[in-house]
Amino acid sequence: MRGWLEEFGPRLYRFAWRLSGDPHIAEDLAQETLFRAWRNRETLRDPERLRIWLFRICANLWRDEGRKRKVRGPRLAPETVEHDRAMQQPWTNTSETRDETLQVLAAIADLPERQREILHLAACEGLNAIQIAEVLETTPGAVRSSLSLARQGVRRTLEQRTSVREISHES
Amino acid sequence: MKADWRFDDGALDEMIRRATDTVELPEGFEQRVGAAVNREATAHHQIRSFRLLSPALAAAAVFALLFIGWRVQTLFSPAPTANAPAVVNADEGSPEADRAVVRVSFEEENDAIVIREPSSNPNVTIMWIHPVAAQQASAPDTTIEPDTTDPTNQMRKGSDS
Repeated sequence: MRGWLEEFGPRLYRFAWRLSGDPHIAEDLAQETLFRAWRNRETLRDPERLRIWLFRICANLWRDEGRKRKVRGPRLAPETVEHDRAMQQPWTNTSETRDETLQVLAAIADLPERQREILHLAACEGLNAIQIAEVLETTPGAVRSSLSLARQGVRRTLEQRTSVREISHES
Repeated sequence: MKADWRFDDGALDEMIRRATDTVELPEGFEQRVGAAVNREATAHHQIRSFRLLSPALAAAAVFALLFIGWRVQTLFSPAPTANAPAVVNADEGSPEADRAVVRVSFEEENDAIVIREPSSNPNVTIMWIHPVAAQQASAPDTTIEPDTTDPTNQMRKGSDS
């Protein structure tokens, strides 16, 4: 378990955080994912597939959590999530890169949930379309389509924000 | 030349990865998660052990109840009667059964009524001896011949055959 925690704990946390936008929910999701995986570790036949298996558990837990949230009430607005997220994170870089980081995070936050999931697994975990399809229990074709849309959406948002910043600098 | 994220998927992914890596873990995350997982795993193991043991415990309880019920039954059941007649199967294969001659006779002053009971075994003679007066029937020092013709034979005092 210690090995799993060190290798996958931070990665699961970041994935859960991307899904939920809440650090407390993200920690609970990561914790529950590791516990369920540890309890059912005998069912994992191929150790090479451990990463896919863990992210699949996490995605399913988030989906179950999402059903409960629909019963409880409306979600936070993306702007609120983005702002809270930016305020809660300890920054380790300069103000310029921090600016870029904030913009990238905000652009991803604007995406629909499914596109956020897929973009994170592709960009941050390096999974291919087939592996992502296995994690999210969908088809590789649907993954490629959503991934393309996600990248287009992020580019569009970043270009708009970059244009606004350039205009404000000029003025 | 650095790839432009506007046109290159790899460059865009790299930018996304850099931004995501700035998301630091909450302080004490590994300790909290590790401790919680260990607690859950211990509780799960205890529940699982109980579930494995419970059929055995249930079986043991059933056996204990059956044993107690059997003991109670034997304690309160009547004791077997003394002097239960021993049953000896007649040796039907023997062509010439060596029959023991049983003679019962009474002293003149003893008054008793003897009633013979039918017996399916030719080697067994059953009789009831009833004292007429309030006197204990003295141990008969007599013999009685087996009656093969009449299964019931009432004899009175003085019968000596």
